[in-house]
Amino acid sequence: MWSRVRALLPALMILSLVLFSGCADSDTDEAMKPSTGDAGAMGKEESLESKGVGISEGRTSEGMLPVYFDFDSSDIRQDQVSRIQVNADFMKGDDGTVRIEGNCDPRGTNEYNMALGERRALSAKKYLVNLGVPEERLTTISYGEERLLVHGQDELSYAQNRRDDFVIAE
Amino acid sequence: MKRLLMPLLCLFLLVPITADAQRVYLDITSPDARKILFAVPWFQNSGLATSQQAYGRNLAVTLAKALEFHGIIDIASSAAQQGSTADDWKRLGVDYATVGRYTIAGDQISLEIRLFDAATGDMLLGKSYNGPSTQTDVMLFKFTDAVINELTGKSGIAGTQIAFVSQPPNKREKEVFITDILGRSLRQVTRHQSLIVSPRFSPDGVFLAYTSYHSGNQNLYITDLRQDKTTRALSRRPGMNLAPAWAPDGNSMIVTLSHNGNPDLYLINRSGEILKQITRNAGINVSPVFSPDGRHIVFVSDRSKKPQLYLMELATGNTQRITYEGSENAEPSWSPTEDLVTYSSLRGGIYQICTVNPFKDRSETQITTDQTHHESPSWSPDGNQIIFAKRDGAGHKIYGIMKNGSYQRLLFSLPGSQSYPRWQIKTY
Repeated sequence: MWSRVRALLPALMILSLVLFSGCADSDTDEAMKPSTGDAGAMGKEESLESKGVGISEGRTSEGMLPVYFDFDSSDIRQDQVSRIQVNADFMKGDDGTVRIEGNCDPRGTNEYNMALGERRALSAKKYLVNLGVPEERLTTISYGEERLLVHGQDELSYAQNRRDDFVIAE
Repeated sequence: MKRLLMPLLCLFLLVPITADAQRVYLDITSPDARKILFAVPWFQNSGLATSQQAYGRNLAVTLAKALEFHGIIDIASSAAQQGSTADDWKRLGVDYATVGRYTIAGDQISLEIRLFDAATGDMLLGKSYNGPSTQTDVMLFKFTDAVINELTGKSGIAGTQIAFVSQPPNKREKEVFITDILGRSLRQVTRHQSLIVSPRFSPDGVFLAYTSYHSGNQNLYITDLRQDKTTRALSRRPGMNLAPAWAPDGNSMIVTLSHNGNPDLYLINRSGEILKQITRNAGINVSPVFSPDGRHIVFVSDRSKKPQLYLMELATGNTQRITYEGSENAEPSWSPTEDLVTYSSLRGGIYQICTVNPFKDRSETQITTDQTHHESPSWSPDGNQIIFAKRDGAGHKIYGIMKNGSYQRLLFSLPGSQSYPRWQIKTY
């Protein structure tokens, strides 16, 4: 049963991203509000060319992919190795810094999960360094269970929350 | 009227009625002990007509709530103005009664409160308080703590402070707040507009350490609660800077850092400098807490696969696992008065509050049973109660419970979600 769920995971994640994207992040709601007053009036002249600050999956920056973990584990799963490789390739074609954000599902206690999320971020960092990404271009931060992407109390939701995001730092 | 105009100098005057060395105090630890019944009639202002006594009623209600909070006192429901005479006490069947009077002049209030033994009619305690009316609750809490001391031989906890992290409804930010035991004076400590976790009071309750994400890293901060303008980063090493245990002398703390590649415990001083690494690459090491004598710590580690509590003797580094029941055990808090650690234990898929003596027999006692998650337990300063975050829908609310499992109740009805409660004396 579990292996079947796992096989379906990528498809299910895309589906749930569509389902949850509206409520996953309150920042989005803020941006939707119509602006009032002068702050919303004419702005400065800017380039016709803009760099999109896109998201691929989870809260990972466009061009990279989040890495998912088993319950209460910070080991890089075999089926996630190709995703880390994508992120390593992306970073080798760039010179920016990437923040690895470790996350947990809501089961477990807060401070333990904070450390578990950090271990997940550190695991990915170690893997990227082994793939040739300079260590000084990687930082780690753990949100534990404080920044849940999806709030469902089911294995599919839990699986999406057990995740490292890779975020391009300004 | 004349009686009320006591000199301003007699702040906190104690009338010594009971100097009896043979005095037997009430044993409040017995689980089947009957609660003490109190009459707390409305405070009287002889200068006002009965219909204008709403202020006196509010004073009595606050005093009654503060007394009741200790878990050993029930308040006899009495008619508003009744309860001040020996006849009333007999009729209500109470053990003790408080009789309070007040006068107000401008923004100043004077309170005169007495405690009577209902059976003998003896006055056991009499105190008067004068000051700005904004300090009224503080005066009532001081009297409450004196009453508890009179009955049990140990000061009450009405004048203590509780810190917690609160997230307003529909907002992403979490900030630290401090309140009195009744939630009447709520103070927002941090305004980082970020995520704050794991607040920890200094042993004297004057400083508060907490972890904030507002800089972009998970940094440890410390703020002086005697002011509300500034804070200071104490440890800002890359990665985790989380959940310090203050040493009992307040001069050092043990904190989780991950800058060396693993979440380990380190001893740091009040300048944030590392004095010693306490754990070394043995999985997750988090949530330390000192024994009251400062010689041991209990902390959480997953070195045996699942999170469990471990006891370490600091002088030798000798470490032993102390919890074996429940599939996970975490979030320890060491009683300030005895060798008893409270923690949350995963039992049948639900986090329950438990206690264990880390030295003797180590029997793991479960004190909550209802099928809702009970998390982040923390002791009251008198070691009689435990405060915790109880799951409530998607969020949490702050609850209290006696250490014997009785008198579980919601402490604060605040909007949003409250978590990470901590409880400490207040000396500032």
